Amino acid sequence: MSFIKSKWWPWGVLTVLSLIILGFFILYPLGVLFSNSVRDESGALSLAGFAQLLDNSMFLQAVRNTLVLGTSVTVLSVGIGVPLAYMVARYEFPLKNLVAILPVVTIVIPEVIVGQSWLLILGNNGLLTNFMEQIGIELPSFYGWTGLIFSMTLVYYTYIYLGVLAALRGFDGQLEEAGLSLGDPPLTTKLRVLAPLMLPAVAVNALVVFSLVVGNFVLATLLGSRVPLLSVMTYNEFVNEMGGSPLLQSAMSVISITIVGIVLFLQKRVVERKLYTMTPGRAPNAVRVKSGAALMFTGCVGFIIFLSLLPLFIVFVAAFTETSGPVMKWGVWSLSSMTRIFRSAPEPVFNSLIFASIATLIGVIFAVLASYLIIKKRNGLTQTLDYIVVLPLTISGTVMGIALVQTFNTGWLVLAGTSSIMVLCYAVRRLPFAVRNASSTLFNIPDSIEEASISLGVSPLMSFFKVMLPVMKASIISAGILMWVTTIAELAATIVVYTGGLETMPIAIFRQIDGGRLGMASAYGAAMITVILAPIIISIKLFRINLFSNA
Amino acid sequence: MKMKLKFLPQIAATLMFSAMATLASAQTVVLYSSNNTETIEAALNVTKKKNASLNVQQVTGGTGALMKRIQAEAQNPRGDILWSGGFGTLGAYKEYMEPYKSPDLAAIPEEFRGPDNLWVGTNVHLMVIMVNEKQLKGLPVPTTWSDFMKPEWKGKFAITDPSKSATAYLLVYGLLKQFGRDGLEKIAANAVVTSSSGTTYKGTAMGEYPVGLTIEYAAQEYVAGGQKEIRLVYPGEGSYLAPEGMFIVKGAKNAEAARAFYNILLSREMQQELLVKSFRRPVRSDIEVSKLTPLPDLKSVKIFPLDQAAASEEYEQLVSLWNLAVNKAK
Repeated sequence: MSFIKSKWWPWGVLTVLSLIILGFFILYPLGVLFSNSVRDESGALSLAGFAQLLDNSMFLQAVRNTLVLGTSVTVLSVGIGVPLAYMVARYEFPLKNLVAILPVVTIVIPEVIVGQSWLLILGNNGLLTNFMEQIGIELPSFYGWTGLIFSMTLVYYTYIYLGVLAALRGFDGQLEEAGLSLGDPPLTTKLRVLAPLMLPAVAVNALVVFSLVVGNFVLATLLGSRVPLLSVMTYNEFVNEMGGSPLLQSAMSVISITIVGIVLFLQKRVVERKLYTMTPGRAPNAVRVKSGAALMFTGCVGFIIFLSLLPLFIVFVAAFTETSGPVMKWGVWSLSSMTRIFRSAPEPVFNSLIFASIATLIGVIFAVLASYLIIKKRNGLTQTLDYIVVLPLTISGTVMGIALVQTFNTGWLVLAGTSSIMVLCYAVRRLPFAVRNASSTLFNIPDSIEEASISLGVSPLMSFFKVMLPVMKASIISAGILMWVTTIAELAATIVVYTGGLETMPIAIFRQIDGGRLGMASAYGAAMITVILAPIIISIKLFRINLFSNA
Repeated sequence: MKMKLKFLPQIAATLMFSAMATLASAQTVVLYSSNNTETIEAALNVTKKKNASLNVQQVTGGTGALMKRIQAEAQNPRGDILWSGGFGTLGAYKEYMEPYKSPDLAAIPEEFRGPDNLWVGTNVHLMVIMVNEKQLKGLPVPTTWSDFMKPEWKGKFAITDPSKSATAYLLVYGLLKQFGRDGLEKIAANAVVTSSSGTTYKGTAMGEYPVGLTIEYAAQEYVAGGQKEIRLVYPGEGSYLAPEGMFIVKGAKNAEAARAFYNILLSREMQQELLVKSFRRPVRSDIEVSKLTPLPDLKSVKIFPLDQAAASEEYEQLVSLWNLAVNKAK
């Protein structure tokens, strides 16, 4: 009894339990990965793996390419995201409300669909390519740098846009007015007052984009056949049919973790050094722009939104287009690809639904518990819990998948080759999203509600269930949907761990694209987007939940 | 939490499968297949016609992924039959196979049968030169493998990394046996190396590479789809054969149904259908390929013979030789 009355029950015990589970499924696999990278076949300590990599010209080229790609995409994303955010924050123009859907687009349209649909449009046999060819213009090949930079920029600029928009909205307009009243010309004011204050937001989000590009596997492998890249090379080393070398896989993984680690370190430095404390003030009112400028603003914003949404449209068109083997018969409509995936190969659809449901259930339960502990029941260990929960965000899917497979393919808990490892990949990779989502609402719930319940004699655990959970209902639903949407689209980690029979929709899309069947891939794509959109629409219509309010 | 992780998916899957199984009163067979959806679909349609009471459940994945699964399930096999894998790959998994002597074996030439009836060929790939004439831009249409040793072909043709694909492995093995280390190095120095078979033929069809050294059926699909610029060249020095086969899994739960399905897959009707629908060249000697498709008969194509068993034994050696040659050229 004394145990139950102790101050460790129930929250302390639950914190320790959460730490053990996370430690086992996140930290331990990463530990195994690091240790594998410095061991030779006999198990002795050795740096042979790294030496071999540094001696391999292809590998060095891949590292260089990855860094160049990361830099170019980041620069371009800033180039699009910052002006877009500035236009939206400061000006009023027709159809401006359309930009509200941008964050949804980033979350909803899976990368594999983006890559695939741009191939359908600009690939060597693509719609636009063929059209231009007919009128005598030859477009440059989309494979390689062009396609990589183009499609990744379109996927990642929203990160910059959202970050900078939030910063601009929190910016005190009086500062700018002060600059102007001191006699500075408007441009100088912007450069000397606004720019330094916006810089941290830009820098932080730019580094996020950079690390996402470094870890990107999906677009890299679809479009970069001629450009060796670190993530693709790591994956290829892993899938090597006759069993690639665990030493090289781990060494490559460790190098990519290191690159992202350096970036995160820089990010922290930027945030710490450039942090101005600003009393939150009123953002200046948006200025209504005049006809000519309005047209231009609407045009720019509209064009960017159009490019972001195009993949969605194209995938549905392709899903209902007639095919002859690998050849698309554009303009001839047919249900054959759609019926084929449901009649002949529905397995990936079922797998996706089953795995994502289980992962979402586990993830949401865990996220509610973890965020409650982190925010409402702080103790010496919750900070650590907070760190571990978001750790998977910084590790690319390919690396996480390799770590999980290397860890759970032997020993007392063998998960490799079973559906459990697919669910585990989903849960581990997407948990941070769910936790962040649940945490943000918990912040706004005053402690007094719960304290009132406890002071009325209800036990802490019962108070949690009877008082906190109902208050959190909306955020639990939105965390669940976010988790569902992002797990359904997960590919980078699951493609590493899957074995025959465990194919999910993104894996099926990936394999169909690899086999040259864009029609079939699009049919799976259409099915996937449908199961992603359905819960979002239901939640908005039925529960009236604004999913993306804090995105 | 751990319990949930471990068992829930299986329970859900079992429920689903048993629901599906009770629907069909008949014999069930679990097929592990690496073939594409259309090919499996065509095969299942023929199966339905020949034996309506056979209920085939399919599990799909790459050959390597499925083999690893069979290996992992060895104590408690869940699959009954694997269709299909290259002979070299099959040879590495002999201990997981149940020998079976099909009555149809007589129609299959000796060279397409596995040792001790462990497996049997279902179809045979030919390695060809796939040409995209629109992208040649002045280059002559290549007619031999040794054309690609010439400097003007540098960067103009794709070849799949032999460690990423069983067919590409046989191609590179063939080039080594036919032209020696020197010849192979010259070709490696000129080639664009891709990381999957799909990348090679898709890239050629889409004009990314003017030429791809690839599998006959994959190239023919683009010709059949109406891409007039695609042409297949059977190299003058001889093409290489890459037969693919199937086997019954050792300890298969539905052994009887598996044998019935095995015989259907080997039947003349099935092989003709797969030839016509997917250009899978049959192993049976009683099917005339040139009458049913635009493809030539096997006997009218010059073949450079390869020893499939020896090919898989030299795996490590060949792959490192190839990597060395490719790296040297960089």
